[in-house]
Amino acid sequence: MNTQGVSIVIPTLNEAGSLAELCERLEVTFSHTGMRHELIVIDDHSDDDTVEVAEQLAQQYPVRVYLKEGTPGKAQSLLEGFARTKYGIVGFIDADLQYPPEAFGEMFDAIVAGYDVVTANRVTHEEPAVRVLMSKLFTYFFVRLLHGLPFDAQAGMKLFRKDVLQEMTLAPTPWTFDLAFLVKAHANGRYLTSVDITFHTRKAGKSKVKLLSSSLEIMKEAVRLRFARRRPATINALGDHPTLGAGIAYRQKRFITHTTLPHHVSAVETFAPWQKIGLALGVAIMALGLVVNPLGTVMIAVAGITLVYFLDVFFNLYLVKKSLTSPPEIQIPTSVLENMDEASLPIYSILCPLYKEAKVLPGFLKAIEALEWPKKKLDVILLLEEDDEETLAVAQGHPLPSYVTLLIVPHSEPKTKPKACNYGLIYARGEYVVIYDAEDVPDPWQLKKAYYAFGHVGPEVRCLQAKLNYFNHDQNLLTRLFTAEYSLWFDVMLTGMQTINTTIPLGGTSNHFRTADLMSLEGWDAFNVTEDCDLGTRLFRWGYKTAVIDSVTLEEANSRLKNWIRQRSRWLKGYLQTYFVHMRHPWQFVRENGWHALAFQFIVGGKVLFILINPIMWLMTIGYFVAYSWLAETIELLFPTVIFAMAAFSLIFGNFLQFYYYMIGCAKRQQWHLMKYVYLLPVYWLITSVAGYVAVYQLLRKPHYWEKTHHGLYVEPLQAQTHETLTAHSTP
Amino acid sequence: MKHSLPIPLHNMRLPLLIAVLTAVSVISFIYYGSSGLALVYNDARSHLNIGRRVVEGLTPGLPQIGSVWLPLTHFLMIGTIWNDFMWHSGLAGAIQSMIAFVATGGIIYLYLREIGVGVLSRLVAVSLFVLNVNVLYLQSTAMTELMLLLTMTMGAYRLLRWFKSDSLIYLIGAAFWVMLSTLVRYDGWFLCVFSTTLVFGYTWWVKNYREGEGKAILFFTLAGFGIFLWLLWNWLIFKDPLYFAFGPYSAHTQQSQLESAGILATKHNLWFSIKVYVYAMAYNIGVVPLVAGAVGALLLWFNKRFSPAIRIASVSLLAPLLFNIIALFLGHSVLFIEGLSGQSWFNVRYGIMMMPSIAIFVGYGLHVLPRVIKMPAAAGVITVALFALLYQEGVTILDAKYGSSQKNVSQVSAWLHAHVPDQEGLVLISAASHDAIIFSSGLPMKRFIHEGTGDWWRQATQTPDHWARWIVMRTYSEEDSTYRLIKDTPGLQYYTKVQAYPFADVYELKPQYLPRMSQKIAQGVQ
Repeated sequence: MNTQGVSIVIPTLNEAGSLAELCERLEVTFSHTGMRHELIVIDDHSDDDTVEVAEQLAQQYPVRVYLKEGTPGKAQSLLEGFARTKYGIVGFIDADLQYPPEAFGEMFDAIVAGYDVVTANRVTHEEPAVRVLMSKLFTYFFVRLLHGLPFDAQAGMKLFRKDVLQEMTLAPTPWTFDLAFLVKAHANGRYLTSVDITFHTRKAGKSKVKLLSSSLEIMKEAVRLRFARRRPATINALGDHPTLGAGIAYRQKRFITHTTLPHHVSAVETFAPWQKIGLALGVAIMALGLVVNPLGTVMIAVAGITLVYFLDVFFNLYLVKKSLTSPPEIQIPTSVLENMDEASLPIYSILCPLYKEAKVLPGFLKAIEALEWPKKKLDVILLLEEDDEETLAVAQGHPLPSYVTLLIVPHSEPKTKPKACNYGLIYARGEYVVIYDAEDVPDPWQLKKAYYAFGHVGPEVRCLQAKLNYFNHDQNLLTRLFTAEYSLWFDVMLTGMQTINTTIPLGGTSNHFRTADLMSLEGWDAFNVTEDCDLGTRLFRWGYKTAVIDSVTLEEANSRLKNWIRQRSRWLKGYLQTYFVHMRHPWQFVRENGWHALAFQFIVGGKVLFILINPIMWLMTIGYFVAYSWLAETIELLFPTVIFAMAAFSLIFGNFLQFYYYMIGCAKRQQWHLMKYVYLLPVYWLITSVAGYVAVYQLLRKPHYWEKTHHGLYVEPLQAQTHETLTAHSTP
Repeated sequence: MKHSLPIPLHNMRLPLLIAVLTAVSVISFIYYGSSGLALVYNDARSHLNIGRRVVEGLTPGLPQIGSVWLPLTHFLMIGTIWNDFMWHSGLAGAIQSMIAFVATGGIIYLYLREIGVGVLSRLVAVSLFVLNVNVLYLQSTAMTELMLLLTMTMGAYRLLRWFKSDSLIYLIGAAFWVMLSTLVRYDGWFLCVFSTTLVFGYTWWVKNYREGEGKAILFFTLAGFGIFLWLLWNWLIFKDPLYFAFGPYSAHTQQSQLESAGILATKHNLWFSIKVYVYAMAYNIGVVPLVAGAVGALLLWFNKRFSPAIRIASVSLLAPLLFNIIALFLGHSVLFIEGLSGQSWFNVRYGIMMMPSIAIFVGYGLHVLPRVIKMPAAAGVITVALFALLYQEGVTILDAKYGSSQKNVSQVSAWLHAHVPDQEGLVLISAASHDAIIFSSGLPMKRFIHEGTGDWWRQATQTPDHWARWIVMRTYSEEDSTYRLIKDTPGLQYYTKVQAYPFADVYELKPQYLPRMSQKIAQGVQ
């Protein structure tokens, strides 16, 4: 698109008398701006000489004349005209000379100043008082009050950036283009302003406006627009790259995500409308039930929850059994890794988003240096945020190896890691790409293992997930339990999920892709704060697989409670986002995925649900025994015999098995010293539930907010350890 | 024409063995069932009754499981015990013993295969187990011994595989089977501690303390989960986690009574405890297999060609031996050998617990014999076993028929069977003392008010005349809780002693007081 010019669309219908003067005045106006320009006349099949006049003018001025092809009405003329414009700034003006074309000069200045849409504002009228009054009343009630826009929306003269129009879909009736355009531009986060003008009386021709019917048409549209669903709009890429600068506009905000991932598979909207209604309805029914029949309502709720718990016990048992009996991790023979022909290795890109993590940068560079991959074929991209001055200063002051590039991610919302990764992906040169967090210490052989594995798995495997664990597991009790949890997740549960070929929520780092595959997957959802979980689910839904490789990346376990809760609440919030995104069309989801749809309920939805409900069930259990004489009878009432049996089974065996799985995880990872701490898990589960409630609160209040986890709390002890000590678990 | 590949014979050995074991099991059950021996153990009938009470009675439900006996076998009965035939034939309880018998035979075979023993020796070992009259008898009854043998042997087998491979799945598997054994008999509790010690000690020795500790915790957490559940269950049902150990019907109480009577001779006498248990083994297993097994065990442990892992793993097979000796020594168990201690065979069946272990040791011993004498030795072992089977009455049957393990309840139960079915009203009886009567009466469980019926029992022992038409109790015996509780109640005077038997007496409410009985009892619950 050529942005260096202005295209003005002039819709005409029997305007032969005023067209010449209009074109002349427009020519004068744009000559003053020094901009290239064009005038596009769209004639709505005039009965007079409008077309002939226009064609004559075309000899003199940069005028192009077209006969309208579509339905009658001004709006259609405008749309056809816009479609034929060639410049980046587009405007339109009625041909009746009631709007002063000279005002385009001031409007153009506003565009240059940064506004996206400039509309004329009729402050002085030469029209009859009745018409003026009606216009003002309409503007006040239907534009200001209904839509909150302080503009003269129906003014027939506007100037705007062409991409404003490209972000929206419009299907206006003859007189409803203007308001819809402004409302949608505003909703898309565009900057709007107005330029005061005098609205003159018509000099020639007749007005086409039928005051009453046109007004009614516009009013109806105003109301419809107010209550229509505000769908997110796609922000197109800037042009140099298919995703650079792309994003989503929603609720008056512009999010530059550097991906063209469609909004319907993104968490930009937390809930689909029916989900909101469903949730509200659920709460309302529950509340009503509690008033009308409290016992019955609670009994039904308890029965439902118990059934889910009961099924989950068996699902997890099945996963763990599969994981233990047929471990699916891709094992790579030592000799293969050691004898790999380095000359034939492709470029491997490493994306490392850093935000306020200056302290960990030296450690990361050390870890990367230790990677067994020819450095000239390494493409390490450090993704720094434009506003993170401290990390920027450290990174720019640090002597960086030739294979490391600093890439500054331009400031934009949402400020999330996946957004930065999408940006980094644009610049990744490698045939393969992996994400590492800045505090990561990957197994030095990991890239070779992944490369080898990619060569030996089918094309349906789009992602290889390395196992994650922690290097500071012995720092305190929290890190011990956190490590046990990671060992369970990565060494037992993920492998179990892989065994049954179901959806795998990826770990935040150390996921390897073929770069082209990742591009075709549209990268990450920048709105999802657990983007890895979402990407794993998306991979599965689109018919691909994730495999786990037998390689470990060590990370820094959160060692401070508040920091831990922040991190966990973000993860859980992301799980909820993922759940609601992929459950927007539940029937379709079930049709496409069969029983895996049920697995998804347990793996993603159930995981959070249990975290939220667990404290209630524990309280009930403790209450039952501690205050037996007061509470036992009531609690027993809530659990009919069958439900009681299932609940008791889930309580005893479910909790025990969960607890035991942690031990199995530690055992698989050979973390024998952590085994005894697993007995303290109930405390850990409790704080997980606290994080769960924070997650729900945040999901409702600030769904895209990225709770930053502070790393680098273990920098000194880490530096005291040699890389060899840290990665002693790694074997080629 | 299609040709299917013949299945190699060695792949068919185990299925064939299982088929033969199954046939032997069924024939054995039919034999003992038809000869009226399947239910002579008083305990067998009580086990069946416990299972039945879960599904039928005045207050059915899982809380009926509990008290002294561990719950797994009762729990496993739930699927079949509702059927009157399965209950009264004893099949509901025997069927699990039969399955355990077949599986244990298979495990003996697999255990020996795992340590490289040849087919002949494996089959001889299994034969030794299968041809043992006491094993065959116990597998045909609703007793718990066979289930214990299965769970313990399976635990030992899985442990062996773990010792050999260091694979986590086997360690967890071993823990699981040990956990099941802890829910069958208290012998399993010892195995739990013993095998945890083995896991810990061995790992510490070959790896390091940390790993030893970790693996021991991993093992014990699962293996001991059954114990935890049992304590929890006792706490929930009886409000005392140690009710099973110190409650009124516990072994502890029983042993205290024996001790006060001066017949708990093994207590604090290690030598005598060993002697009694060795005799019990000899009576159950046979002297020749026992000696051969001891030799086999020594050969196994001193065979340097075997890795220490296998030799240490096989130590777990000794758990029943150690448990029983320690239990006798500490006075936690009682076992009589006629002529040696006591004048009966009470609990002599405990000697059978070492049967699978002895079979395995014999199998190994045979395996290492020189080829020249292997066949004659195998033939000799089989001959001795067959001879014992054909010409000796099992000591467990003696215990059941004549020892303290049986009680002559037939007179009382026959009376109930003749008088109660066609009349309205309930029978007040202590299940702890007279479960065999309940079983043999042929009446449905819901005709009895016993300790497990909660409020029914509480009310009936306060005002029996309002609740029970008949009372069965051992008059003047304080051990009989019915007598102990109602002896001073005014209601007792409204009853007539209609029958007095050596074992217990039957009382019936006088006709003029029948209207006192609750309408609900008179009509509803029947």
